[in-house]
Amino acid sequence: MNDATPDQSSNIVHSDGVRIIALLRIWTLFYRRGVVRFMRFWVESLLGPMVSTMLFMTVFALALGPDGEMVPGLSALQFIAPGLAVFVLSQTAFQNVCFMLIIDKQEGVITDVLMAPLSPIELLFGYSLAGIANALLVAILLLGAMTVFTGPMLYSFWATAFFAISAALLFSMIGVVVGLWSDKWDQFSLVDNFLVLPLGLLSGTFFTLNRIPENWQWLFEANPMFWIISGFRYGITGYGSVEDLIWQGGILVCLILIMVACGWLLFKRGYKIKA
Amino acid sequence: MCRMALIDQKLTQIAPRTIGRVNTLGLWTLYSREVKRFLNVFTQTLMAPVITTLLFLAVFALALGGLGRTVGGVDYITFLAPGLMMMTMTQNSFANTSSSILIAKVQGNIVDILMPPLAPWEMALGIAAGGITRGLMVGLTVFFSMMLFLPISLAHPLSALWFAINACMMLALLGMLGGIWAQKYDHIAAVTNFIITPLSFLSGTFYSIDRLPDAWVAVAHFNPFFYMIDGFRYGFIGHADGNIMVGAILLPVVNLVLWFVTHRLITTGYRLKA
Repeated sequence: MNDATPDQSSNIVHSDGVRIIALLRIWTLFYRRGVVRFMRFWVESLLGPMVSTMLFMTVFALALGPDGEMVPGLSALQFIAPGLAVFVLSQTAFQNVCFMLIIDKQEGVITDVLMAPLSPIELLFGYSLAGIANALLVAILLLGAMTVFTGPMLYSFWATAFFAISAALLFSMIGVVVGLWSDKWDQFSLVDNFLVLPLGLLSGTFFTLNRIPENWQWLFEANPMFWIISGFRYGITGYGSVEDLIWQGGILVCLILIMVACGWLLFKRGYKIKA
Repeated sequence: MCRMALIDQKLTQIAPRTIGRVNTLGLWTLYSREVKRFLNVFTQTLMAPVITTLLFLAVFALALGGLGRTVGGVDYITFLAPGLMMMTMTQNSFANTSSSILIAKVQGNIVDILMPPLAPWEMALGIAAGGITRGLMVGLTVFFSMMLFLPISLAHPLSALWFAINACMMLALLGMLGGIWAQKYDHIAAVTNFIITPLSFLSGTFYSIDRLPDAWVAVAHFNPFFYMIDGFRYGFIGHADGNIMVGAILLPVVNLVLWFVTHRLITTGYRLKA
């Protein structure tokens, strides 16, 4: 079974033994390389995003003062907290995967990974799962820390989990595509600065849509980050319309599938990683 | 024979260049290298900070303004704009000098700066001036792009300029110290994440410090960013939270101290020379 070429190995997963080995391969790439890496750099990968997000919350708390509900039943901070947490989650997923891929490419380590008997789908999930794990960990820690400002909140565990995992999956897949495409850090920071950050900031994290002029609202409603944030906020606080969330969740799943397919195709072709 | 004479003549013409008290050509070369370094990737070093600042302004204005909220006697957004401008300027000055030195150290091309006949003070000045230039360029770009959306007026332009230059200089020098001290990118990321960003966020950019509990007002007065932002904002709206003279004098004094420390480190070659 170990003789199988990388391209075929995923198609011959029939017996349990082989399946376990396939999982072992993903585990090795995911855990030994990805998780160990971000835990080693926990100051940047966990503490950094946490400190800056908590600073944001502090600044908002001070700037807002004690007054004001953002929406009926929720204080402004309670409204902002879930959105901020899931935005940081998405950004972390994206950055982590990009960092791993770009560093591996620049240092030439990627050949070691490509030489191992890993199928494209295993490569894809090996890389992205580490980013997903990092992102989910940051979000859980953040939600815990944010209770200082908001008090404990959780409305629907399943909605929260669904939107958190969707966000992490979607953005880690975007991370794979951008990471493979980037020859230098310039391309990565181009996407980070001009796509991920604007998507996150102009998404209703910090305000409700009725603060926006009518003819601009479509711009927000068409933003996947807006769906993620609304869904996640619904899961945490129970604010939002379930009807909207169902179709938004549906489109998210489709988007994720498209991005998985893109990532898989790039790894299969060896785009910019195989000679 | 005639040809030989010509060659002789040429040889005497390229005698060693004498350098006066100041190596002006060397200083200028180092400075223009620093400027070209960031202009080469201007999407990251100029555009990105400008876009991010404008987004911040939009987000905070939408989230907090709009309800007739006023701070220090002006609209919230008018209060916020100068602070954001200053935050971006300082962050970019710091990023420019710290990354310039650190990248040179990691890649090993720091010797190209250490080898030429540049005095330590010339090296410090060339690099710091590059950082100040980037800070001021980002500041000006943000200023003009904000003018498209906001009626920005300058109450005391000279005061704004004084604080802008001093703030950029302070962060450029701090960036040099950081870059000299750091041995890996992680080190400088840690300084940025855990020192520079918190100090600049908790400086009164987003709120007036009389919002703070009394004990914290005293703490805020120990934050140099508070004086930079307060003084710079005074230049725009003509109103300051603290005493503007304190900042106007304190910042150059701190800069002088930082300058001596930087100069000392470069002279001794701390973490720069083997």
